[in-house]
Amino acid sequence: MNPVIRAQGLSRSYGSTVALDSVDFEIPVGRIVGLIGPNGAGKTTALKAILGLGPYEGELSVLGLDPRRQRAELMQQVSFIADVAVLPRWLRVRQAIDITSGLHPRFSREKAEAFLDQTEIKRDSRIGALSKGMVTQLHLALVMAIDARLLVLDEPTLGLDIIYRKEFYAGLLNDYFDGERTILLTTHQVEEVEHILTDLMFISHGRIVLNESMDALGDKFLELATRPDRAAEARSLGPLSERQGLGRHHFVFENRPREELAPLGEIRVPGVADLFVAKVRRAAS
Amino acid sequence: MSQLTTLIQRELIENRSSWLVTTVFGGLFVLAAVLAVFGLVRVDAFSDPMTLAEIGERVDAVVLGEVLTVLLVAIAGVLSVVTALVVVFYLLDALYAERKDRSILFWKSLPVSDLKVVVSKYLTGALAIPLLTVLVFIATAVLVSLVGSAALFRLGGGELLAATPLAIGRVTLFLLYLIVCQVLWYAPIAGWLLLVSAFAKRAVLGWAVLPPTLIVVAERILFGTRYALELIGHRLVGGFELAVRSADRQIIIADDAVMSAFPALADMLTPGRLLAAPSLWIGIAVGLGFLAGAVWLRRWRDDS
Repeated sequence: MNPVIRAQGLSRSYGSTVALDSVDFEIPVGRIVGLIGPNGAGKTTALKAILGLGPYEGELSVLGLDPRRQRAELMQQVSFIADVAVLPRWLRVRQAIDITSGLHPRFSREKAEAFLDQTEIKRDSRIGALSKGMVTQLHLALVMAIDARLLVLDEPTLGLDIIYRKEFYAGLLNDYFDGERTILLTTHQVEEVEHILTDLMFISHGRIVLNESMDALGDKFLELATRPDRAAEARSLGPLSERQGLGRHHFVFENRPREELAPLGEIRVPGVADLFVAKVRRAAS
Repeated sequence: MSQLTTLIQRELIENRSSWLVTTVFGGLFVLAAVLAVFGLVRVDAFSDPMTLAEIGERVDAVVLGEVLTVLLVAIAGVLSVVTALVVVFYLLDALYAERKDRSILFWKSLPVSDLKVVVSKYLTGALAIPLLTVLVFIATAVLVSLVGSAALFRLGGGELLAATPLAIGRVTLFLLYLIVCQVLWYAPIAGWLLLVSAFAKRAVLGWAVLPPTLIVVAERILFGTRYALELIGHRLVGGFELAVRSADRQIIIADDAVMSAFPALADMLTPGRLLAAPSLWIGIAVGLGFLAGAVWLRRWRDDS
């Protein structure tokens, strides 16, 4: 099956700053991909290119379409939430549904109404009068009612309470994701999305430094916790990173056999956040 | 097509003031008519020979219709000026507001081309808002005429009511004709306002006014000429000179009869002269260029 997104040599510079440095990647159908990177790493630039919102160089095909030339067509099958609370404040909830329904051929009014029924949002409220959490709920209801093949989320839960953040991802997983759709999201709060992702992409200084499925992560990366007296030995095996915990040194290793590390201490699969720090630091140095 | 309708509805929801302001002005005229009736009753007590009541007694329906027509033209004129101002500010805001409140990314997540969006905003300013003004005018004219007729009827002259439909019809046609002429003649101004609206980061009004002003001043200083000023002046008022034969539109009151004065529409309107003017077509071409620039800016501008 053709990948949903295929990028080859994808680049973009802002003046002398290189935001994307000839990036190659493919995202297959039915994945939930987390694009993780520090501020200014090129995440948003990559998403903008995919959504046809900004210029770029290189080859990029999204659902077989060229985002530069076929944007309106592409948006029939791609939904996105660029940031929370960017819905027009002067609109009423009912009007937002009417307008989306009038502009989007794949929008289902019934679905949107059903999602909204699960919330406390009133149809006559002006969006400007809703709380930030409610605006996000509304935006999600509108987006989830669109029968799209790719959903792109850029920091969708930024500035939200923990309760809304949990609900947001739960709603996505339970009511939207069906294995045929593809979700691409960026976030700072890695821990919150870790368990829903199927794939992980790390981006740093405009380059992709890691692109793995979550299943393969455990085969490739191991975290070793040793007592301080074995730390030097572990260090000699070339870890990606090292940090000190309570009476333990933690090392993250890439492509080291489990048998080699096991004698030195306890082994587990590193958390995404630790792995992220390890890979991004390594890429930066 | 249905997308375009939705887009224009969206504009009218966002810019409710675009039709509220004219409605308020229309209401003021009706109120003025009511007040005039009460004033009339008092003035009549002093038997002023030229009160509306006396006019009603002395002249026939045809002449009354003429008087009413002139009055309605004045109302239409005021509503047109108000609408023109509303449209200028609407167009300046049209592509700026969505960037300012950052909702542009929501609009861009919908499968609508930038061309369609810009066209919808242009059509809202050039046609939808003026056509709403026509509706407001008709409502105002009907109410004002009814108030006047009721007053005259009480005083013994009922002919005004009979003359009303024709008068309203004539002025409405006149107004519609002017709207069409404005769409064509002001295309470059509308295009320029939308271009500025898509371009400016802030101070849209300044960006709209400053460049032409600078060109006029620079030309004056550097060459001592004033072609730019004449060009702008021609664009602002020249359309009316081409589209309408200037005619005496006064009510002439002589002896004890009212001589009318509002010429027949066929004598006044000169669409052929407007359409034959090269400056009309040059203006339309320039306007299309500005609109294309606005579409390009909305498509590729990336300051989110």
